Amino acid sequence: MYVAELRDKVRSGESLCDYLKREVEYPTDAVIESTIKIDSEKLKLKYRGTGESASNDLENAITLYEAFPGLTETQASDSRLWTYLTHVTLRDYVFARWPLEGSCEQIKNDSRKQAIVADFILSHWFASGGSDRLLRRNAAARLWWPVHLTHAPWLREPEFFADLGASDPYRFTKILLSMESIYAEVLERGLGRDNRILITVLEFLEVNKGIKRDQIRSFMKELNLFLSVRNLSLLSRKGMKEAIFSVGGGAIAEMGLDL
Amino acid sequence: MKAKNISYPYPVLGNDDDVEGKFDASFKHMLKRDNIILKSRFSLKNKTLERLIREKKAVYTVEVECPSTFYRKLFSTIETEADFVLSSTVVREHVSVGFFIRATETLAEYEITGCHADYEGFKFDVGPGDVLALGGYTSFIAEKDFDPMQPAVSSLIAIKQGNKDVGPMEIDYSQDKIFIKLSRKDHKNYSQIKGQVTIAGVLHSSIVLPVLADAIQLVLSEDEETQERHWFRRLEVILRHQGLEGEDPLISAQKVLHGPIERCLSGLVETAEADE
Repeated sequence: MYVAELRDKVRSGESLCDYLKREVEYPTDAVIESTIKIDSEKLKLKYRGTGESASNDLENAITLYEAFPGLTETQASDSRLWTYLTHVTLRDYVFARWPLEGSCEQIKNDSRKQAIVADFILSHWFASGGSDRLLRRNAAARLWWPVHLTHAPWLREPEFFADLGASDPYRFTKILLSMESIYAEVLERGLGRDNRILITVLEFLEVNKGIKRDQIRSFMKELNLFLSVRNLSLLSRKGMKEAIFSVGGGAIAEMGLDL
Repeated sequence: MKAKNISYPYPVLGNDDDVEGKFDASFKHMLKRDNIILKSRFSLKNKTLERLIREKKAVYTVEVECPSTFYRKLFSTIETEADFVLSSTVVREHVSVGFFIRATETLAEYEITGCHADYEGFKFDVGPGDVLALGGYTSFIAEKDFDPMQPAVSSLIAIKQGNKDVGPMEIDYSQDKIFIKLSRKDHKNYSQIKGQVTIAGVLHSSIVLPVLADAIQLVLSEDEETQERHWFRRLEVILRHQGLEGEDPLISAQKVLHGPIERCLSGLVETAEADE
């Protein structure tokens, strides 16, 4: 209920300037105790100052993931967890990574800017709703989920991914977070929901390192179309890999672009 | 995960009049402490597909998807009745379930009995994973206390104080619950009477009913702005389970609220009689 109030205040413009302050006091009775284990020693994200680029995303994503050992999917889809982290624990990080443009006065005096700023805050500081799309935008959830979805697939499904061998557990996280467009295109289309497909898509992108944004988009579009008729879960690892690599290769060739 | 308007390159049972026959699935879910049991029953009438399933060249599939937790999984069987188990830690809130028959291997020169005249004489190459029959979709809310037949209104709608001193109530559909915001004056009066049993029908009729009817209209029109909100998904499940998808929103709202007009008038009569 308190999160709804916070959102309300952002939407109405009342609290926009709070999001320019390093410290804001929230009522203690608005917070409930959680049983989620946090390794707070580990929870130290890297940032230099405002306007932080995405260059530390991978390192920060792994740091955040390792700071929450045993966090389940159900817990990690609870908007209250991520809203608390962005507003309190990781407030400085959110300031650095997703800074607001303009001063409090500038925001207050410009209704158009107010609406843009409110949308920006609702996207990156909150995570309400029943969709993975909203979790992909919250400043903290968008770090945890890509690591969780790609971490050592051979541990999640030893038989299916037996051929991968136990290598770097973040091998596929590194590919997913290597380009903003890979992250957006792959997860935006719901492909992250099927772990086998996600990992195989990332394998294709790993092999085709120089792939460009347009080519990734074309590949994802073609793959989505392909998946509308065929469910690859019934395929063997080899069959799935052949199918996805064939769609990917075809999409790139059709665009007539060199890698 | 709704039925998608897909044009298949070969005849698919359950897709318009592509193929004569029938494929239906009935489904129940049981929420346990650590897991969720998905109980599926299939009914199939088509000689070709029955044979393919017997030969394990095709399977019944139950395809589960939870957008809140990046979860998608396919369960398959050749039995007409099967229970599948998933951990309760992997899904949250709205869970979609689709039923299909899919090929498990390449079916060269595939043809199916009872296909539409448009397909007669043609043979198709079908690959593993390709859909052969559509059995529809359903959904449930992965929460033990949620009963779509007896939903608590508080799981969908909350009444709170707005920012204005006086004036009409305002509705906020943009959050996970629908928020009805009363003016300070109205909210003060509301707070004084809200716990009284005889008043519940009055409040449901005057405040909740019009909002719920409007919300149902948003669900029926598949409103893009609100469709990812928890209340929207819950209402969708309630309407489906109560068989109200084709009803007028105002009628549906009254059914979901269990006759608020009748309860309102009875409550008022009771109050009037007590005053006398």
